[in-house]
Amino acid sequence: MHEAISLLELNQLIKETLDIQLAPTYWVVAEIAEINHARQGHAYLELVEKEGNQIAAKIRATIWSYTYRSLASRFKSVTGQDLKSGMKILAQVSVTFHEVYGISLNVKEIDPNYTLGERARIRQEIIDRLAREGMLEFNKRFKLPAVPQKIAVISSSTAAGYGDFVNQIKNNRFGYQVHHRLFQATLQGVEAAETIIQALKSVHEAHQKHPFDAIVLIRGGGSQLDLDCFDDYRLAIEIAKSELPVITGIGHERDETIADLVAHTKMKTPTATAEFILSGFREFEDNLELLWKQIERNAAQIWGWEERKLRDLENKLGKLSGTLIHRSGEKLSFILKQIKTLSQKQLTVNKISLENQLVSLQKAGRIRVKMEKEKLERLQTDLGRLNPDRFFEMGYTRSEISGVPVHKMRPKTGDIMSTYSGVMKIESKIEKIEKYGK
Amino acid sequence: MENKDFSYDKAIGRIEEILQVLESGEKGMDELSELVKEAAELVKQCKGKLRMTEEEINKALNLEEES
Repeated sequence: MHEAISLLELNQLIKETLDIQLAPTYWVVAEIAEINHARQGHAYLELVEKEGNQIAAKIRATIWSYTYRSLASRFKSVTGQDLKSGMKILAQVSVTFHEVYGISLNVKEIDPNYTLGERARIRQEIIDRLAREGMLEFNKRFKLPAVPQKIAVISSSTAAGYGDFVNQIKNNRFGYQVHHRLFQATLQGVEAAETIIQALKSVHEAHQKHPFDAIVLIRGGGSQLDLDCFDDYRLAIEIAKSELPVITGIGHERDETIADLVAHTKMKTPTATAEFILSGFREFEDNLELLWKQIERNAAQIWGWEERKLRDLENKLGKLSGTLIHRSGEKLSFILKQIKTLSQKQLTVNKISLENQLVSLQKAGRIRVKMEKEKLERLQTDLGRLNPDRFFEMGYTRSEISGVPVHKMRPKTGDIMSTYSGVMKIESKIEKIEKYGK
Repeated sequence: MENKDFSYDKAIGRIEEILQVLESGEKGMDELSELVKEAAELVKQCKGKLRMTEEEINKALNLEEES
């Protein structure tokens, strides 16, 4: 029969040994694997140490509510975060052993600066590496499309942020249509980074068939968010090397995550991301309207010029034709005047020549009359000479037989002959006729 | 009408081109009205497409293919 002690005795022994052997407190570095909040305000933690992905050590720890309240608020004010799983902490602990509950640590103090530094150090390492590899700016090589209308959304359909994004897009007051397709991913916890990477791969596959304009990575919700997955190096590389510009809207208030750093554009919240996309539409449309106004203005100007040109031409034509008409009128009246003066001249000339002719006619007439007169006078004289009275006065008589002068006929003896002198008619009977003269 | 080659960038590029041509003032009235008409058509197309659902776009594309 072996010497035996009761389990309680054994546990008490362990407790005593620990009390004697261990210092009252230790500062210990560990990672929070789990943290649960009891109703009374205590926090129960599971602390681990990892080597790679293997857990090398594990222990339970408690923070009593009295301590926890001040400790947690101080921690948050320094780090901007609540205590949560995945965090590396530097804690002041005392080791307690309970006969029923076994060994656990009582956390008395946590140095937030350590966690801050640790996180920052890891983060900085990743950032430096990405910078070295030229990955920080790599996704920014893309020019965002004029209108990001076809959007691949990586989010969780149940995430509040996704709902915000969709509502914002759907209810935009300009009636813009954004075609978005959800690629499901888990946004917190251990597999988050991996599911986001898978979602990115699915987007790229889909993009070959139906091209997208951009990828939007969104999540949103309370402040209790676990953002560690967005500081993952592999995710950062996947985002940087994406064939499309990536816009993040990871709804958090603290400094940007590494995903934000490598993304093309970082927005604060899903709503802001939706607004950003819509602003692209708005900008495009504003620009469109501006250009159109300029085109209208220019066209109007050109039309104005052309119209003025036409009007000027019209005026010129009017003036010219006016001038021409005027000139032709002047020419006409000049010609008329000329005709008048010329005809008057002609008339005068004709008149003069007429008058001359008249004068010469008159002259000729007078000469002619004179000649005729002289002729007449001569005739008269001649006639006067032929007047029978002159012959009667000279003693000549005229003898007729039966009205016929005797020198025109053959008188016979016995004929009764009438003999006229100037003052008498003598009737005689022819007695004898004899030759006389030639 | 929507066509397969439509792109906002191309459309705006062309509109800017037209504006430049107008600003240069080298074009006559005939070309001017043609250009303005083209620009107006592009503006209309862009504005329409900004508000076109995916379904409508697909329909438009299908129609294009059938005709």
